[in-house]
Amino acid sequence: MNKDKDMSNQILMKGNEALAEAAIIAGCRFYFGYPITPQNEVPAYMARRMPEVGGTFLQAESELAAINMVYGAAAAGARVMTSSSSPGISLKQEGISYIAGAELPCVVVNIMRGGPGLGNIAGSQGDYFQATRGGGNGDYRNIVLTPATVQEMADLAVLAFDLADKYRITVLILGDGFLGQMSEALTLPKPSGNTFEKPWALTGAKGRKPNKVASLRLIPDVALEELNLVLNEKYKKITKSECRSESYKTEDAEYLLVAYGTSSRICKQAVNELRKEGIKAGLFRLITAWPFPAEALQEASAKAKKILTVEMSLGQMIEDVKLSVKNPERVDFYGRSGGMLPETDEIKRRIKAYGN
Amino acid sequence: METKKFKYVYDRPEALVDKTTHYCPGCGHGIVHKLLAEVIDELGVREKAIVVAPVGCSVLIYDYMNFDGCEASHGRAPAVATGLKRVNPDSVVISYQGDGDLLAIGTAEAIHAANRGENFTTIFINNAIYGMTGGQMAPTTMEKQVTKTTPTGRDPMDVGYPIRGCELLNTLEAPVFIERCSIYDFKSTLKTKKAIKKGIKNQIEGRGYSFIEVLSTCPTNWGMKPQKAAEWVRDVMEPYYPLGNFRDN
Amino acid sequence: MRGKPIIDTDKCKGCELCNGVCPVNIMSMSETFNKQGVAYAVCIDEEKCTVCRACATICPDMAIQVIKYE
Repeated sequence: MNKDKDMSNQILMKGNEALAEAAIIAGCRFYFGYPITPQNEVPAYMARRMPEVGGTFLQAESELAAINMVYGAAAAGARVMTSSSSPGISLKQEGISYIAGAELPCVVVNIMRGGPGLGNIAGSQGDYFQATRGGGNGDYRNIVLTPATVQEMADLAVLAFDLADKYRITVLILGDGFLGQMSEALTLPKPSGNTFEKPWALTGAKGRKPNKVASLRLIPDVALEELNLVLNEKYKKITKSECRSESYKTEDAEYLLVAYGTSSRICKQAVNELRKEGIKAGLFRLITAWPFPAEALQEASAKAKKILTVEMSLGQMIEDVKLSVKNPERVDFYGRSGGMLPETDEIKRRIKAYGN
Repeated sequence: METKKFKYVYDRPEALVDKTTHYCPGCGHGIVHKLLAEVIDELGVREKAIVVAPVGCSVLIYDYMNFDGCEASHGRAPAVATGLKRVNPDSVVISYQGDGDLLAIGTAEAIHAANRGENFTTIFINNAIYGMTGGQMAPTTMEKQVTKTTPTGRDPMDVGYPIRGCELLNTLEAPVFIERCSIYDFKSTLKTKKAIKKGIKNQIEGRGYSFIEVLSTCPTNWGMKPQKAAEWVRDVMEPYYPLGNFRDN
Repeated sequence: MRGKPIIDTDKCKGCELCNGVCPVNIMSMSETFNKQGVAYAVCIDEEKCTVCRACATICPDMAIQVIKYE
């Protein structure tokens, strides 16, 4: 939410462009991307802005090439980003797996569209599984941030680069086509001021032993397991310290909506309208989808008689909700798919029906 | 014990790690790794060098080179090299790739990095077969050559003809150096070293993209002793993949 | 003699490439086996060595160094 009542430092920006500008504010100077709707504004914005700040923009020959350019740039120690939408993110899964195994930091943006396959170009939330369950091969996780406003598209972009460098991990910003395309007022964030040493980066073996960036561990036979144990420790640490969520009117909520991104905006509207009618509704909104904010959700759902997860899919986040809450038989689902938006009136109708 | 005074006129380059490689006896990789290390030493760029490894027998090249090394997924080395070089233009980035890496799965990345004129050096090891995975057909496998996936010999009517990488890249505007060489004998090996040196020098001088294709051997998967394999390169591969310089700008 | 190859017999993998490139045919293979279980390269007539370095250059395993007498 905007902290200032003073509007003079507010500007109107499209979600995709706000995210791109915030990446630059965060010190990202390398962007590799490929056109795909509905995120085309990101590469277009970067093509214009990167040269202005002495950075590098490169339109790669495919999303696959782009993620591998990200891999190289991250290996060299730079803050680097790529963006795409669902089918393009599928192409990147191999690269993201390698990045996880090699423990490289980077930011990947998925402006989700309807799927599966070529789907359509409207916003959706159909890639939650892909984002939070790994997507590529192997036992790994990415941090997944889920903005719900243009302001958050910017704020979370700045956070993403810090988390990536701090933990040497991919941070996936999971937006959707509506968020990417809408224009809202925002205050551009400031840089965090955090710096991170990268002694492992490939900067040339001057005055030190050669560095290697690799995910291959052949010898001895336990070497790969050792790497996986290291990764696992990292993920445990992140799960402990980096969960983020918003609990909106949940203290006394009898009916709890759980959502993220664009569907959470619709839910918030529904909560406000229900409250006006005297119904104790609340919203628990993910800001990190991984690590999943289970503890905060348990707290928010403590008094709830019913928990309604609302998604722009036919039920992906609901699995994490059921795994996290006590008495998961309380959990119900409402969703639309293929780029269609859930409706406030339908949410209200269902909540009211629970009361009967 | 030597009583006369002498000096070493051939010794291990500093850029080559003193480690027995996992390569088969007579494998061309061992020779080319050595040539690359010698060139890196002679040009004094060991502390700036970064080798990008392919997926193939030489996936562990970074264990044998005494400088920074980076793994890449199969075929993506030119994209990884692009990222590395764009971040640090002063580094000396070598993309070392095999025939599947460069001409099958990685064709798009290979062509586009060359097309952009990325200022790094590609060493392309063409041994007409997929060695690491046990001897399957490569895009550069010769017509009628028997491999695990062409057990009755490569049939061009079914799987196409071998691809000539140098000629393909030679249709692009940007590359500044394209040469095909070999390591089947002493003379050809010296020419390969010269070509690699030119490719690295071009990079140091910021001149653009250099491509060196090396016709190499895979004695194990060809089912030949190393010397016979070297002769097969000369007698069967070279007529189809002519040696020589295609471009030297 | 002008010089000669110094062969690290345990590094040699027995590929015999050095035999093939020596212009004066003084490279051959041993009768016995090294630590790797293969016959290794031997120089059978050091007097004839021309210090051309062909053997060392072609050796894929850096098993051959060459010295030149001053």
